[in-house]
Amino acid sequence: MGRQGPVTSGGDIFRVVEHPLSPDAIAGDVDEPGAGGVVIFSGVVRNETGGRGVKFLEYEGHATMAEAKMREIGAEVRARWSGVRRIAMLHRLGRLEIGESSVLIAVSAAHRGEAFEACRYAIDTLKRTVPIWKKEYFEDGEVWVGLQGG
Amino acid sequence: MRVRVRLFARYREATGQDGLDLDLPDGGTVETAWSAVVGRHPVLSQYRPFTLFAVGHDYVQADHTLRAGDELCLFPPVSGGN
Repeated sequence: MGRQGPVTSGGDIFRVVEHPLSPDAIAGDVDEPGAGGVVIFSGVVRNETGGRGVKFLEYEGHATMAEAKMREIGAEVRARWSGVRRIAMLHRLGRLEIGESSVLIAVSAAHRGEAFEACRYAIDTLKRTVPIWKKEYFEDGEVWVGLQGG
Repeated sequence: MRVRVRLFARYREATGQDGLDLDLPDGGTVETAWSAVVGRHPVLSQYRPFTLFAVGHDYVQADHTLRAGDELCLFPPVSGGN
């Protein structure tokens, strides 16, 4: 992607990548002594859409803007939930197979309630604002998925 | 003034191009640019109601005034999923 390295702010991470995502690694990214809970969301490639068998997916995006939008989401999370200690958001682009993770979000917070709420907010907002698209490949064709689908 | 337009996902595939350069009158808006793009790629006209616009890393409205050297992105709706 021609990128220079991690996009971080205060230990938070917002990155678009083209390699497999690891829940274990992202848990380490938000590790912090003041955290009493860590919530991780992993969005994975499902094997069907509306009863149609999916073979694989391809994700395409505007990588630098996607990272900028994820950074904005991180700032909103910190403004809303003061107990949040660390945030990491990773989105993968390229071809993904069934069961692979396309997006990982990890939030550590002093208490679990804030970690759950912040993680939910982050993934829901990402789906609305981050410029990334997916193309579903079926046995008998392919289709770009927009807001209505998926 | 010169403006760079980038096309993504289904727009890139529909046109066979990931971008194009436009020469617009000074004071031209995103809507002006959209009309120019559709003039070259009529296949995109059907997507106007669903299209999102961004300049740099920020979403903008269709009446946003462009400046020379801007990079205007035309986006299909983003990925979604429940």
